[in-house]
Amino acid sequence: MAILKGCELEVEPQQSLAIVGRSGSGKSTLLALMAGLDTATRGDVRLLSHNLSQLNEDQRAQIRAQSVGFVFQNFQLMSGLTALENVMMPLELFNLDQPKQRAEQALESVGLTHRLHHRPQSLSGGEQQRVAIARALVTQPKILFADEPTGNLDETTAHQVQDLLFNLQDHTTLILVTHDVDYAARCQRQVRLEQGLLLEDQLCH
Amino acid sequence: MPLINTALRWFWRGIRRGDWLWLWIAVVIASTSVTLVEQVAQTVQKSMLSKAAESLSADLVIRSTRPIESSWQEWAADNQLATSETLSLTTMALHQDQFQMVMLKGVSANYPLRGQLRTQNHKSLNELGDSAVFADPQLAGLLGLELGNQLTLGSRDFIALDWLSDQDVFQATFSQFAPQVILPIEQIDALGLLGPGSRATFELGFSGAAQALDELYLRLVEADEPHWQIIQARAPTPDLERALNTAWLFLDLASLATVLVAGLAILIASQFYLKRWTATLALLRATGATSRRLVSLFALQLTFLALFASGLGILLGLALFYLLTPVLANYFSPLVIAAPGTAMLLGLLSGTLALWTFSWPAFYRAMQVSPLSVLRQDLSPKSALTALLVSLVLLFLLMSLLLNNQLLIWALPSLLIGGALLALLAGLLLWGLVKIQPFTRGWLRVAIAGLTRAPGLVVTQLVAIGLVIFVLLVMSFVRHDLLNAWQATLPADMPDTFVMNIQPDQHEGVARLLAEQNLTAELVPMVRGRLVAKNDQPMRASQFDEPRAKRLLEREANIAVLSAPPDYNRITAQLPDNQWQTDLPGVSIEAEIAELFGLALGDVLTYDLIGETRQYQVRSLREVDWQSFRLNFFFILEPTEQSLPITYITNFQSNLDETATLALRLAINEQFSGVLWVDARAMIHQIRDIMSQAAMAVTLLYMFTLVASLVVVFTATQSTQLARLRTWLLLRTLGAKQADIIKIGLTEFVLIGMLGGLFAASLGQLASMLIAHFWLELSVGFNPWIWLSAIVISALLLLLIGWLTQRHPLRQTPKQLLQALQAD
Repeated sequence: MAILKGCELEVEPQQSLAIVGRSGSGKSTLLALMAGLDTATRGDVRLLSHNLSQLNEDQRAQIRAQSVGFVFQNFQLMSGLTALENVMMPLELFNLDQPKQRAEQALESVGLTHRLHHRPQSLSGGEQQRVAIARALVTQPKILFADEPTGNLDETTAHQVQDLLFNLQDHTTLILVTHDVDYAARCQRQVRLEQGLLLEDQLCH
Repeated sequence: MPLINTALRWFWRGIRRGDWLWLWIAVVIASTSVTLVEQVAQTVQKSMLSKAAESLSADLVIRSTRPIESSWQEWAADNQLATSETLSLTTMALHQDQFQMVMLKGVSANYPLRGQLRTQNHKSLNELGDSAVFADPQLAGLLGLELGNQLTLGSRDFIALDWLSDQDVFQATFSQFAPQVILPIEQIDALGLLGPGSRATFELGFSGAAQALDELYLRLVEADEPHWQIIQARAPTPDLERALNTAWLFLDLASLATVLVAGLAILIASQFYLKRWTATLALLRATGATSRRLVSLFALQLTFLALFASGLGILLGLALFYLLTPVLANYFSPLVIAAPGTAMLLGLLSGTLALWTFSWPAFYRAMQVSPLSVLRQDLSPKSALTALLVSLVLLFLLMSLLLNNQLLIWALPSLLIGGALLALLAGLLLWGLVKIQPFTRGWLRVAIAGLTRAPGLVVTQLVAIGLVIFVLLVMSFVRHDLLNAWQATLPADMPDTFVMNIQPDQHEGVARLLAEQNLTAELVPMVRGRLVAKNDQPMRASQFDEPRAKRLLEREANIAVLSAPPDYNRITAQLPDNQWQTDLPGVSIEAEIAELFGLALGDVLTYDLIGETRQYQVRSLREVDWQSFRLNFFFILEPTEQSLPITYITNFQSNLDETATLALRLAINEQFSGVLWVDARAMIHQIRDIMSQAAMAVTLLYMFTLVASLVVVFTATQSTQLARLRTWLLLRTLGAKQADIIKIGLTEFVLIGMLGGLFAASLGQLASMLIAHFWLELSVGFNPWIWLSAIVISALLLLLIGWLTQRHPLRQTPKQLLQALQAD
């Protein structure tokens, strides 16, 4: 079964793009393809001049490690690690310099200096998502993928997280999957998916 | 009925969907192991009983120095027990001017009640008539006897009709090691050998239903005739019986260990299912189902699961047993296969009880769930004391099925106290790991984080893995010790030939003949005698209740005359020099006999040494290893200037071939009349045979527990599989390469293996200290090898399991991982 049909989409560097659509419209599949988590059965996906369809799994992983950040709806923090350790994790995993200092800075940038040594279980939903954002940005990715990042948060917290995400991604391409119309409207560009078809592509600003 | 139908439908749907997978696998392990162990144990026991009964020629035998009252035969007939009589005595057989001491055995027509009397040409007892005998083939060499030749016994001549084969040598006293001659019991009287004072042995054998035999045994013990020895066909010798009892104990404990290990798997699996059960129950409650209906529905499903999985376990256990039958038949001859009823029932009960015991706490917790949980996922039900109490009662029932009362008394409290300590220890280990986590980095930190993501489950995992490793270590050590102990009782250089009744004037000649054959044998002087008084107070058989004490006081025993006890006896107590009565020579006494007669250091003992009365002071007590087949004595007298009617005895391991052995034996016979040659090789061979059978049974069960344990460790690791997959998916998404994931995944397994090993080593150290302190009364130090081996073995085991179970998920793409998570 074809989930996405005839999608042709190019995203400019440092652009913010919102992918909107109903449940089951293919938003998450598109995101997975763009991030190299999945490969298309037909057609090509080019990420930062790499044709993902021609790379193997580890090569795609390397591109993600070097250039991509992720923020998920359900935060996906490791419960066995503190906030600081969660943020340090990708830096340490990929042997990057000064993991502790950089992670502390990232957490400071999301306003969580006072929660460095707390585990996810003792953080609120908003705080957990801020840790996740710090983790996504600590490697200074060129592209940030966010899959319903405020889907699990109350309205006030969701706004705070949205602000944070837009404030921090100045030099990063943001690709956001959401069905929150207001949130999508804050992006420079919106695309609408319906039954796997790219129906609408509009610039918001 | 609708409720049962619903429960059955749900249960079956759950089975097909794999909802109960780990639970039923664990129950299958428990009931398979119990069924298999019970069936093997019963078959082995029956086979060995049959062998022992064959050796004894009956199920129960009264051996007596006097004729046995006929009332016992009448009682047996009234109770449908068969009886047979034998009468044995040592005498000289004559053939063509050659004499040889033989063991003459008169047997009744239905002898033997168990087994067969085998002769080389398959002749039967009724072919003997009143003028023929069956003879030991040794007589061919010793007397030059051939079949059809005449053999003179007492005042009559007989024809050697056939050679005896496969003679059983158990239950034999030394005099019975002389070559045997068998004839009908009615002929004995006519030989003119029986008279007042003749040393004959009368035996009355019984066989039949176990219940009647048990009753007979009780009556015989009650009758308490001092000249009797009551022998049951449990094991060929008391020492061997002790060794076999250890083997049965090992089998019982191994079976219990397997069930408890499977129980741990159920405990883990039910924690694993708790979330799913809770969600289902919360939903049902929210939709209006009553608590009573839910309890009934789930209880019925658990019951169906117990029956289904136990049934599978029973079938698997029996199938494995029948697969093992050819192997068993190699070791147990004849193999008597036990009826499987008991094993099947035990398998069913243990599987059912194990499921209820270990899944009840989770089940009960799920039952307490609030309907609000449907809306708020953080409302997890709390565990309750009553659930634990129910589990304890069930655990008690389960253990009482598998252990005897004596073991149960200490096993249950140890298990409970141990269980609490184990959980504490596992918690401490995990806490330690959390503490070192900040000092690690990269993949190691992620791997450690993997272990601390669900501390409760990891503690249970650690207890399970640690216990499994501990049980395996203990079983390895016990099995090793058990086999070593058995091996030590029959060392390779064990003496197998005895030469006795050597007169002082024959000493030099016999020693020379042995030396010429390069046989190392020390001729030990001894005297026949009897203990008659202690501190001038007469000692009489009637003063003692113990049959053994009565027998020893009534009969003459071999008493060594040596200036010092042999170095293979361990001196346990010695009289200080200043308490010696210098006018008396000393005697060294075997410690158990000293205890039996209440003899102490310094006591003055009076002996009747073939008519001569002599006094000795007790100067030392000794421990003697009676199973060693070396020359051992209850009493060792210090030589004095006064002469004693001494003879010499010696023993050695004969490394000569059959021809040389026969030549030596004939030479001794011809040159030194009255010297008795006893060949114990056949007996040693038979003991070795039985011990190797028991060792085989122990090894088989050990292997099974090993396999079951591996399955449990595997189940334990699977309980956290979902969380593990989630972590790997996250890491893959963030850009981790396959090699990183493999490193993290396997490190997690190695870490839990090391912790489990550390846990097992702590238990092992504690257990060895307790055993050494309370049992062996020894001090025991820190043994680094226990720790090192436990940690290394456990880490390697988990690495292997990790590789086997995770090699597929570890290589999955993020998309496949996601699909795996969504499928669950």
